[in-house]
Amino acid sequence: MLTFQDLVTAEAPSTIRARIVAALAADGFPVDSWAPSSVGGVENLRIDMSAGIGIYMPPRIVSLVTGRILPLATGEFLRTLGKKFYGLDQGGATSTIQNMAFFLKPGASGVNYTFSPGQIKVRSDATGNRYTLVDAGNFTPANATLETALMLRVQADAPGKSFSDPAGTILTMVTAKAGVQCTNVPPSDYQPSRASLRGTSSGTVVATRFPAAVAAPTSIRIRILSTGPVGVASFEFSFDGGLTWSFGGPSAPSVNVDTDVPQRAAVLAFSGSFVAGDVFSAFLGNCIQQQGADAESEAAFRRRCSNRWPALSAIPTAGSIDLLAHLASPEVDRVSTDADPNTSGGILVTIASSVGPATPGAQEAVQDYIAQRLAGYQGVPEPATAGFTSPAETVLVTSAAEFTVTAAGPVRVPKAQMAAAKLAANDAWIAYLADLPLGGQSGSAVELAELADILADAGAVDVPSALANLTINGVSGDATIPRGEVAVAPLPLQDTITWVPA
Amino acid sequence: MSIQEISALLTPPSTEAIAELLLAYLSVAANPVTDFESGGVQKTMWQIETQIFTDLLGPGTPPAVASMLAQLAANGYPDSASGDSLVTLADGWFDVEANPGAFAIQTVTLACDAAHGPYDILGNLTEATGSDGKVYVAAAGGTLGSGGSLTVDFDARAVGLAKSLITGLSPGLPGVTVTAAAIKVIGGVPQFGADADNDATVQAACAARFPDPAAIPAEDRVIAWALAAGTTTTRTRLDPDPTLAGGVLLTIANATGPVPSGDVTTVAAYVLARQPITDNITVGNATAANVTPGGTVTVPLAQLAAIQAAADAAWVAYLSVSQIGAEVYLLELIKVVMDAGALNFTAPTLNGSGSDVVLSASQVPVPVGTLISELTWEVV
Repeated sequence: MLTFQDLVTAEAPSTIRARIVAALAADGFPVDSWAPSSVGGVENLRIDMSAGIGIYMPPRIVSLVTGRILPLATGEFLRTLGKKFYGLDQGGATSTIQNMAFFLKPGASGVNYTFSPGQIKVRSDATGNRYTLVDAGNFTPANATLETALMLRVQADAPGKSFSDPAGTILTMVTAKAGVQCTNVPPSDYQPSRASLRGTSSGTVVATRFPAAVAAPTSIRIRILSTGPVGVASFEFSFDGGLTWSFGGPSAPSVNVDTDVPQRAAVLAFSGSFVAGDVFSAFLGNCIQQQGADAESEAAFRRRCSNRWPALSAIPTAGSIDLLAHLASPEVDRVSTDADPNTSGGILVTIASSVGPATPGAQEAVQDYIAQRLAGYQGVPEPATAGFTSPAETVLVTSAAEFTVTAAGPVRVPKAQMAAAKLAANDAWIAYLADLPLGGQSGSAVELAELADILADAGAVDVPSALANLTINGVSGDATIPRGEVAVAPLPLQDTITWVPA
Repeated sequence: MSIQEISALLTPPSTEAIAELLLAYLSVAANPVTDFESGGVQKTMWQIETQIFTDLLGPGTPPAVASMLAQLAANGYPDSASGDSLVTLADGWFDVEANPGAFAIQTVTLACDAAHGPYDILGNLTEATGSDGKVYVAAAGGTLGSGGSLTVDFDARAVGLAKSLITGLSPGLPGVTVTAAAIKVIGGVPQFGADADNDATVQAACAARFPDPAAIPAEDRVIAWALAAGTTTTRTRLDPDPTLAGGVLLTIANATGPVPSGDVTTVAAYVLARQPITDNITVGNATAANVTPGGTVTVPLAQLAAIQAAADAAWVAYLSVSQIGAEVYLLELIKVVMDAGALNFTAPTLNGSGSDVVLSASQVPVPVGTLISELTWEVV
């Protein structure tokens, strides 16, 4: 009887040929005395032809079997399976969008220009990545300095995650305008904050950096505790996506909030009126407005298709939240979901792009998208009982923080393979890190053995002296990714590994 | 070689492709060119083998192996499968059960005039038809005597919805007429029959298996469950449970007021089967809040009855959709009366007061009497 493995393994013509020959031999034919095909041996030629024609069948059978099984389907079969069975399209590559500041060069006199979409091209000299203007704007003498610069968006000239140039690195205007210089910067300290999607506060909260702070919180949540105008309404805040909260006191036009100043702090400016229970989200500004992504991998597409099943439930599950997060923003690559320990019905979602932390735009988009689709106890108020909160389902979305991973140590590589080995090892290392789950999830550790395997697969033949010389973040062992963080390699393996010619 | 495209799977190799593949094996130096002249042994053998393999692998009729594979592949996807393959696919992959259809059954009374008969009505043989052309066969036999009558059940020959009653036997018998025909009722269920789902219906059900993930829910899921539980519930209300942290109180009512107690049990079971195990939802019945209208209405005499009926219908409709725990507005009473055509409405009251009726969280308004009986009607 055929096994499943038989059905998914295409027989080669040689295997078919051997079976025919064996059958003929068993019937008494002198198969060994027949002249070879190469000299025109009629018998062998006919056996070759019969076996060769079999090439039409095995791959068809294999494709027929694997093409409709989600974990096995690939290529067009997977795309078709996803479309016809799960109603999903495999995602294509998307382009990075950066925020650019245009301002006068030192010593240049004031000029007036009209910038039109497509008219300006800029470039990062470090990466060679080029971007094209997608907004229109008028450059005037008022745009004299970085602080008063004209802010416009540019889009990468090609899709893909490799367009992730950090702030202050896109400095070259390929299509120059006399007297104008540029740089990529966040449009503001924090994205303009908004009350939660179903909030009813008319007031606003604007977050800015605290000048003396060592680091700016990547997200700030402000929960209104008592209803009233500025000065009356009180609030609490969270710097870690809603995991822990600190009392902030009464609202005011300018309030310093900190948890461990000078490490992390920010300034909040309240105005208008607020309603108790509303949560404001302020995400740290980023020059990258949308992080580009490569075409969705087959593994990621399979995961999305699988998540159609848990998403059939009207109850939010990790699978359905993951599915919604991906639909909300093409930038989303990895998602982790937790129950909010502070709020009944609260869901804490952490997202990351394929290159690391998610942009503020993606966080906001995902938060709004999921919030719109939560259908549990919406509008049910907080009971009068002290300490009880509303069971209404809510969501707070935060970007994973960067967990920098530095692999170091010596490896010996044959001299002739050195260049190729470095490149292959780094590509595999980046791919490995990009596939790791976010911190706090199962399997969220950077494994030393994986590093060694990657180096060996790339051509390394030895780790001189002892394997213990190979380290991740200075330790010869696995590095656990902290909860809510995403593994990122700031430097390529070419620079961090000591490559010794063998 | 691997199959990269489904189109390749769906298209068997052509005769030309097979001939080309075989020719490559024969193209060795040891085979002289003359062998490939018309009538040459090699060429003839090659052509014969090409035809044999084409018959086996190609687009042959009856279907060759590859054609069957192609059909197998087509039947593997919901939009290209058909017939039994589609039904099986829908059931196995999408948990969609195709309706196989049902046979209609009619009970027919036959009468024979005195000049004809008797006749044997044969079970499973005697046929009858309706004006829709549907053919039925007698379920059991019997004798239709001369000048007598016989009542027999007739089963439809094929599944499908009966669109007419049986009008006569087919072929007809001299002197025999159908004097009565009716859809048979079994266990309270009329046996109209039912059309089987066609392929398009099954395909649509498969396509709808996974709802659009981008869709925004129109209502709270607990409320949706309460309304979908198959009870008389039409009104719902969610409140936080004041004694159980995170708990929720679900209060239900129907269009006339509190639901029958069995509905509470049914809704509770329906919700419990679907809620997260960490949720605590307590289902309770609404309590009736009697609402007695009062006041004096002036109407034209000729329109008294019509205005009374219209006003009362509007009042009942208003109360039937008033939300649990909401207010019953006096203004609404005035509105329904005046909109019905009243000339004047003086001293309107609700429960004897000239103000709105404020309901408690679990109360649902129930009209006391009718506007006809509770209001004072003056005619001019």
